Amino acid sequence: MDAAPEAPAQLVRARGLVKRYGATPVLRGVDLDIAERSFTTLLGPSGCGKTTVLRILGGFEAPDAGSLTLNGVSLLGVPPERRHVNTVFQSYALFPHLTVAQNVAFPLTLRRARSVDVARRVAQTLRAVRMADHADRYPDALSGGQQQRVALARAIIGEPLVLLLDEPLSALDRQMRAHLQTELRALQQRLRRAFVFVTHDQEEAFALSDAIHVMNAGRILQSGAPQEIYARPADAFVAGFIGEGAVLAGRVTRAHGGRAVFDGPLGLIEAPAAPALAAGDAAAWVLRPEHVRLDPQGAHRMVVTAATFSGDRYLCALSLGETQLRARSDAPPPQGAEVGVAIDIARTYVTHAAAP
Amino acid sequence: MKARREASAPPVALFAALCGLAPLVAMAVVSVARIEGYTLALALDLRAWREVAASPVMRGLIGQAVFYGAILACLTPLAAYPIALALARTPMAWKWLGAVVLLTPLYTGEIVRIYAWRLMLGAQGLINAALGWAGLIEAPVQALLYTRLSALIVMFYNTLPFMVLAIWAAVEAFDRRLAEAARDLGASPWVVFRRVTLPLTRVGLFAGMGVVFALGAGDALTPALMGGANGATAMSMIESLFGAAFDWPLASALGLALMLTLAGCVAALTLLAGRARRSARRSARRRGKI
Repeated sequence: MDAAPEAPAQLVRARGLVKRYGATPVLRGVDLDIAERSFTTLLGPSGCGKTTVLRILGGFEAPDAGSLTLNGVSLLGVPPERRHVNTVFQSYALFPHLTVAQNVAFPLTLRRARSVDVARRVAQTLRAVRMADHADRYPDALSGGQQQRVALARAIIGEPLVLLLDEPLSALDRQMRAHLQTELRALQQRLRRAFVFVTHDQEEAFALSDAIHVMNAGRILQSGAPQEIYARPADAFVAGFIGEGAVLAGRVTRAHGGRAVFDGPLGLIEAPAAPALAAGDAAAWVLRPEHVRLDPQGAHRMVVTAATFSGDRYLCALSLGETQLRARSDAPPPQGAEVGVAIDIARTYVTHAAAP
Repeated sequence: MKARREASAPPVALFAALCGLAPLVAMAVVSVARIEGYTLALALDLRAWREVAASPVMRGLIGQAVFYGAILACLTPLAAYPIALALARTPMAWKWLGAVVLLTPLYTGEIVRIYAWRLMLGAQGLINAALGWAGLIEAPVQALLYTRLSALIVMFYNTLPFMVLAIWAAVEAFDRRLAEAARDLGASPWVVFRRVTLPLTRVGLFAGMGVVFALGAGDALTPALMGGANGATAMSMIESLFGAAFDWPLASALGLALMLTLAGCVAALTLLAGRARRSARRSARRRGKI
């Protein structure tokens, strides 16, 4: 057997970050590792503390407790201007009195760089975000997508070790967002820098990230690759927040070797399960729409309560008493009718009701 | 809405022009009138204007008004900016307190404030007492009272709230996330102020400078009560010319000359402001030019 691949070097290490605003705890002990050259996403509902983590990394907030290092050197007490970290703000925060080129040149002009070099690097960076034609415009003459690119160019021109992005795509329309996602990922791979991205949009997180940290109520609930988080959510909250489908509550009656017998609203089933689950634990059964299909020979009979046309197929809501499932269907489902439902139990997952 | 505003603009402008111009026209007419006995006769006599131009005293008084105004317009921002920035950062719930502290001295009336300052600056005043008690001086400093300096100190105090108000309004409208972004990009707090905050709140600064210049240049009371032997101003001279001396043409000519000089200064300030903005843009463009 080969030696395990060497773990990528950790660029940023945060341990036990705690932050309170008055009596309200915003972060309740956050541990975070950010690998060099990785695209890391903090994903969670609004108010979960993800932006606070970003502001602590950027130096705009000081944690009440915990440690934070960049390349092994503590960042606590280091002001924003002395960190090799730059931010793309949600509001873009472009300087309205400066042109696009002047905005992008701003970090370089602070360092007494030679003006020839500044001009060359500004041109190069503006080309990288495809804004070279707008160099002499003022920010208020640009569209949202263009402002976003300028903010990106201004944040990367100083070659920060870590680039922080605070929901930079949230103000854009769907098409522009999809387009910029692709560009952002390509840019990150070209620059080979660590990007830390904050979003509440799981699709965006999946499209961009090497690693996702799912946050809720001031804690990181799960860290891992997107596929891992989708297929094996750490608890019912992560399962419900990520992806579509149903999360059914129940109890584990037997557990061994990564599988468990789950007693829930659809009776006893045996499915892959979180390794730490033991008999008697409250648990959640995660069924994604792709695990459920309409099949006249299916083991369950359920009523189609709603169907949404999503272009390539239909997403239908099924119910059996209190129990709600979601399924995909190629044909328009008969609304209100009882249908046979088959569940691909081997692909479903039983997880903790709440994070252990 | 817009059409109505356009329709109402000409009458408003006309009213303002009449109110502003009528007294000036009257003064202009009087300034070239001739005194015959105890009455004024319409004429085109430039005697008063020649006298203003030739008199070193009158030119000195006009110069002194410009000097007071300019010094105050340049010095008050140094104190007003830190105060305005601190007020803008004050939480909403406490801003009213800042406003009260800032404005209360203005409600006490000018005379009261001036006499209060006399108590502070006099030979037996608080400042001399404190300096003597600390052993820093042996005899009281006399330069603090009845000099141009003492007039300037009190005028500085009197005009500071107006400068703070003008800058405060501009700083409140300033998006502080821009300052945060500048810090993030590597600017120290001072550089953030110089390159982001100051350029984006310049309107307030120039408005404040205009107001403070006018207040300082036009203040007759403070120099009269604080300036001692140097307490004469163009305004006090105009008053005595209108009254005791009964030389209305000379008073009018001096008044108009003063007004034209001050208007010229404000025009120059406005031009300078515009040029400063353009040249800042040009030099920034050169730095960032492709």
